[in-house]
Amino acid sequence: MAAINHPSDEIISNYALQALEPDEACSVKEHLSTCLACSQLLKEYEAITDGLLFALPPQVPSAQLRSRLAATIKSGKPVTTLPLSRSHFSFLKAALGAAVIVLLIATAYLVLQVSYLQQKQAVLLLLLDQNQASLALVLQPGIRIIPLNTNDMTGNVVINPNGQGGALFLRGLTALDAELTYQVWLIPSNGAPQSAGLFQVLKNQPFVSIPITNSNLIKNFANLGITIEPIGGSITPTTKLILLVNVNL
Amino acid sequence: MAEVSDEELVKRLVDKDEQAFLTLYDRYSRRVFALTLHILRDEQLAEEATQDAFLKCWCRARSFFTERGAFASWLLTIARNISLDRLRLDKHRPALSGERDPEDIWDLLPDVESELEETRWRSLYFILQSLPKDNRIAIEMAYYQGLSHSEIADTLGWPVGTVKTRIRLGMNQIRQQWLDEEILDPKPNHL
Repeated sequence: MAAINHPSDEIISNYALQALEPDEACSVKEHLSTCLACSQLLKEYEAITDGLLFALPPQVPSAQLRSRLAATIKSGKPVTTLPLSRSHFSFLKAALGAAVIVLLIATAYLVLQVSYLQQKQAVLLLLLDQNQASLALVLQPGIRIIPLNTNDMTGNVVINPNGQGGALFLRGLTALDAELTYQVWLIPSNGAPQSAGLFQVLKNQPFVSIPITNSNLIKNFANLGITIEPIGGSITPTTKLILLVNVNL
Repeated sequence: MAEVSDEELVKRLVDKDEQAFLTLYDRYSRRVFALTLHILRDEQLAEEATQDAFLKCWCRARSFFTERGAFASWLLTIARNISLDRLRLDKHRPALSGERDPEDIWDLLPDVESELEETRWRSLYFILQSLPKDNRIAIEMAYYQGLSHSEIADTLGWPVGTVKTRIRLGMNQIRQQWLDEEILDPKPNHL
């Protein structure tokens, strides 16, 4: 007669506590259905697990719970499952909060983007005006062109036929910090330099065209220069000239 | 006037007797709430689980058979299952050490001579608390958190074999101490 393999005391006690893995529990259950000795041992352990249900010191729930239950059964409505637990509400709240934060960040980002694009548009409109003014000058007959070629930049100074105005076309200038500006100067052979306009260079802008504006005739000046000044410009140059061109050839 | 038995009250539940329901609630709500609170470690969640357990009894009173065991065991088993389901749903496994000190509440219970049933559970509670810490933790995690061997082993960083052994040793210690007391001091006929 074949020997019966009874589950160990360890397995039975763990089974009673419902701690076995599902497949292990299945095989124990199958054995218990036919083994009186093991079933008896299990009963002893189950007395303990039943006892564990009662073994906790009683705790008093809130009075509202009794009222809620009484109202629920009195209403006669079908009893539904419980409302979502607080942790679910917390999760929903957290998700909603996160969504609101994301929307706020996105809105702030869009506002900044619009503001940035408006600023850029204003600068581009200014550049367009400068380009159109410079282009109008170039198209006049009898203009005088003075080529420029330094280590850092190339371009031309264009002066109109009567020497009243002109324009600068430059490549190689870099964008400045926000608190600085380029300033054009008309420099007489004897006397103080006079401002002939301010201009900015955008990042990655290949070239700039700057109309030269001054109430005096350009032909009355010996040189044209460019300095870097604080934003808004200066009355006289405060830094070293980065470009000097003889315009009185 | 003699107290109405649980079995009689459950029979009335089948006929939707609201007073019988509230009597059972008054009789067992503290036990059910203690169990759900111990498992869920959150008063609001525990009250919800307690409510759900009693409503299940209200709806399913017809499926309770006295031959299978006492009503209180049935009710508490329902409450335990609901609480463990909620734990699994929330994926939230609370630590064993609660903020409350339940021993303070035990001290407030009526005198042991007048409450034999309470004496039995108080005795089991103190036997459980007096177990070697590792044995007690393994038993509590299995029973009050519904964790399997491998889950307990993962949580505590123990080998699975150690978990099994701790549970066996703890269960045997309870069996020897508590069931021996039962023999010396037989339990009353009803809960």
